[in-house]
Amino acid sequence: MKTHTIQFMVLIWCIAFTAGPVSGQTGLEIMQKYQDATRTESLRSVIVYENKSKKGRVQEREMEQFILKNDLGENTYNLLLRFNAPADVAGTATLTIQQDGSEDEQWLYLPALGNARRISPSKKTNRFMGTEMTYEDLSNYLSEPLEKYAYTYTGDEMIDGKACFRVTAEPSDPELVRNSGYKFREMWIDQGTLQNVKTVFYDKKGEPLKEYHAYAFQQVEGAELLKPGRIVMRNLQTGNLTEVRYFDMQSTGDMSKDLFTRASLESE
Amino acid sequence: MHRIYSCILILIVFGWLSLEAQDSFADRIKWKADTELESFHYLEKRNQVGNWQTEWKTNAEVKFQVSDHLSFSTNIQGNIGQVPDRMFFAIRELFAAYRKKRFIFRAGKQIVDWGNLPGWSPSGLPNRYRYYDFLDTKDEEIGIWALHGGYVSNSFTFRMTLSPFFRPSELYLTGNRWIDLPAEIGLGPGGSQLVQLLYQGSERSDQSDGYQFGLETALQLGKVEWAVNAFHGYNDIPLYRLLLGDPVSETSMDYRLELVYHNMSILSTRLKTYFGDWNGWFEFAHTRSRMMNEMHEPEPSPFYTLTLGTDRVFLFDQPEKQLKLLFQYIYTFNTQDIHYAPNDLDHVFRNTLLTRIAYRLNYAVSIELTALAELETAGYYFRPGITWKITDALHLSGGTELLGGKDRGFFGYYRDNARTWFSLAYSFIPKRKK
Repeated sequence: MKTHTIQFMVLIWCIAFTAGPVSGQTGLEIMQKYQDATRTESLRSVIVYENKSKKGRVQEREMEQFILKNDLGENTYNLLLRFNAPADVAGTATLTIQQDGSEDEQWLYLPALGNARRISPSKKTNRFMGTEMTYEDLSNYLSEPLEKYAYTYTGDEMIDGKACFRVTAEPSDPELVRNSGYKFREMWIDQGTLQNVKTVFYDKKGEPLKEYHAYAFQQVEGAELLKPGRIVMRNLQTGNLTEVRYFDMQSTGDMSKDLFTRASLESE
Repeated sequence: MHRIYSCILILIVFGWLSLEAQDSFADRIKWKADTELESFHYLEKRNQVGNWQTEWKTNAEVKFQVSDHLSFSTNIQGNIGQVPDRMFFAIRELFAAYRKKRFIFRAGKQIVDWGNLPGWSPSGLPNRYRYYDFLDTKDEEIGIWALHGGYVSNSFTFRMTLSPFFRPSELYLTGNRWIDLPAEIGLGPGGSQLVQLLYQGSERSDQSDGYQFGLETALQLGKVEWAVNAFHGYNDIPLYRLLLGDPVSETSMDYRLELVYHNMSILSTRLKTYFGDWNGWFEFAHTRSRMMNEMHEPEPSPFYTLTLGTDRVFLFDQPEKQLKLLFQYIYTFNTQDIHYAPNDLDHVFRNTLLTRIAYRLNYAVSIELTALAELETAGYYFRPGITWKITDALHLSGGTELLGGKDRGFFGYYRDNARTWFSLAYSFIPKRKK
């Protein structure tokens, strides 16, 4: 009995030691630093992504991505995506204008129709372009609304040989609690570069749903900014995965607002 | 024969470009090309035309981005078909495009779509095609020399297009399953003496203003886009008159066909919106066209078209699966109690339900169905098909097209043209990053 009591005390001590804010930082402080290190006003890149099914079938797409912070909200962006390949989707483009207080504006341009039409804005839980990413993941990737989450620092851990903070992010905003596809996320933030190298997403039942992994971090041209050159999102429940590779990442500050217009969308 | 060389040349040039696509110059060029072998097998003979219709079609599009504002584009097509008229090499598009903020301008030869709905639009009647096949008009659009300009913002759109030159659709009057030339005529008292007619060619009679002009104004009011469109031009498919020649014998006679082009105008209003994940659209069009009267003179024949449609893309938990649905209702009417001929291409849809279903089973295989029910003439058209993407570039497709209904409707009239088809298509497109 005595042995068990000692073992139990040692266990409690270990948990307290490893889970406590050894670094002296709270989860929110870590996330603020992470956001400062990754936030960007604009980003341009070429993206090649592959959706791989559990059965080994592959869908590959190449597109150009243009992102520009707008003044329609605290963490809102304009996002233009233009598909380059394969041929049956080449020329297709979407324009999303995020805004606080009302639903996002979303436009779709199909070359066969020749003009753009406004479509229903995608829900947070919708897949982004058929990938394992959702629009919620994309929004958080661009700029996570820190005030809408409760962050808890849960310890340090080594990921891919890098010392990382482990932070749990749980929606706290009532609307986000309703609309989010996740009960919570566990994020691993590299202590050196303050980059998110791994995230595990938990579904509404608290079961592991997806795992995000970031690799090959590289300097973004024109900015003191690191971004992953390759990311993998694996669906732990279905076995499907999406692998994304980024090329020619630029944040040069001269991106024109005119790019994010219907006229630009239709000039493809 | 030189057209075959042209098609092969296109393939060689674009094959070479795909290898060279990584250099810096290529960053300013966007291009794609595709080549498709398509074959139809008709279940029944018609007009002494064989049961097989096979074509090899090659398209190439190139866009050169000179600056952020200015670009040049071209679209060329080579075609190899069984009949001489279907052996051609055409520059379908060759234009300069300029965009400055919300102003757009395009000048040159370009494919103009006068109506642009996700389904069928009555404003699209004057669109120009090569009508070798009335059902399969994919890649058969004809470019016209035109100036196009406008102001396009997210809340307000104004566009205008002017094509100053005469360029109607192309018809294939002989050796075609879709066009029946007059074969005999009744002469004498009461038309009792039947005389065989021998076709000797056609001639054009242009009674139109000879240009096409279109305007579109659209307002985006929250989720709703409201547009007004106006078009003035001429019919792309002519009316015709027989020009009888001298009798060849007691029972036969030469004739020529006079193809009559006349003014045509369309005024329409259009609404587009969305309800949840469903897109919805509506169009009402007033078309001022002409028909031949009993004296074989063109006379005004206005008609109205009302259409209502919806479409949606369904996504599933399994991301490989995807379902696209489109439903449209089309109603055409006139106030003169005119009944249209079954082969009148401007009045194919009179009281029609159109459905399109595309279901992707996985990244490699998808099935499609286009179904039409023409309620006025009990006509129907079914086009089930399946596509296997062997690779992203190589697609194999096959299916069937079934037509039926009463003789006085388009689909019943052409019921003998039920067919099966297959297509093998390869796309050339450079991947900028590997």
